[in-house]
Amino acid sequence: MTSPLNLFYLFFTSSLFTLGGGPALTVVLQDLFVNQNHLLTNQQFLTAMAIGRLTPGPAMIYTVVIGFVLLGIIGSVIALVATTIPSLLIFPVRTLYQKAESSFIVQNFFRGVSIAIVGLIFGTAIRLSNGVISGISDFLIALLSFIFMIKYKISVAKIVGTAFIFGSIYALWIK
Amino acid sequence: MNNLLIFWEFLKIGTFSFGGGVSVLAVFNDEFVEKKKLLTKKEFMQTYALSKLVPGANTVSMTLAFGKKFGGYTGSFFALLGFYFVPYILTLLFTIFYLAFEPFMNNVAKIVMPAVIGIIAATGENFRKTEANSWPSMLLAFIVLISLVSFRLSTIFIILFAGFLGICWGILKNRIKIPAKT
Repeated sequence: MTSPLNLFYLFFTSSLFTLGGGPALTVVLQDLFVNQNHLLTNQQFLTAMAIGRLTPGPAMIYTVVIGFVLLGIIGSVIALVATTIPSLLIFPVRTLYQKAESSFIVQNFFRGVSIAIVGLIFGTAIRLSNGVISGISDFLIALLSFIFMIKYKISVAKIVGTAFIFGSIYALWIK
Repeated sequence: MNNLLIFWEFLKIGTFSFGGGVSVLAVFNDEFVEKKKLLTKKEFMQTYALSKLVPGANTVSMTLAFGKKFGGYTGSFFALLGFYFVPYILTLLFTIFYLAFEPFMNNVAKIVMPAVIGIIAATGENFRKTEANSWPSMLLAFIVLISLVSFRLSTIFIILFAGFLGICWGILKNRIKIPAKT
């Protein structure tokens, strides 16, 4: 399927371009693992995200699921280590902080990146719906969780947990 | 603080932070600023601002930064170990459980997957409210969306190019002296 080194490279790159906060990780991970390298299907990627959201921990914890599915225990450790390494930059940045935060180049660079991330997240949602949202009922579920999060500010973990409960009822029903 | 205590503190934070992102930040704030008074509010906010300038998950870089403050570089290592410990094991167990009951779980996923897409779109909308709330920025975000979905440009290229555009825009704004809109 893939070599440990390649897996390390893919997780490291995804994390390195996770700029401006967690959501960018989903964008780059989906692009690298699903669209460019075809290591995962959209379905596997979304399931990994769901598992990651249901268990506690940082947003990037679902890389453990991806690593495990592709290369077992070793893959899961590679996932954790490779996505962590870029974060080590916090040490030099924290020492230089006043310069870094107020720098003209840094500020404007991140302004541009943040705007792009907005488009990229919506674009990734559209790409992920390929093969997943195939009917009106799928669309309604997506819309419902969107509304619960935006309008009623229900936490992600609760929405995913509820979806798992309804999913289990559905799975028992059609059995 | 000794390393074992650091490990323990971050183990608790890792265990009780569900949902990633902002909810993890709330747990950090609650434990270290409000309850234990190990960090000042200002220190916490500064580190949060900086964690956004660093690649990777914000909460991971914050764990590293606070760990170092409590016990040097070994402290940050133990902080990370504690922070990952429970989430890693639970995620692994859940994945093994999922794979063991795959045909059944795949049916469960039929309901869960669309819900996750809704969550990703909602994350995008929350991000848009703070980052792209003017017409020019929304237009740029829309162009990015099209270039990803229709033209299949690489996300890494788009991110770097947008950063470059941001710098150009900043220089241009300084040249023609448009008053900065905040």
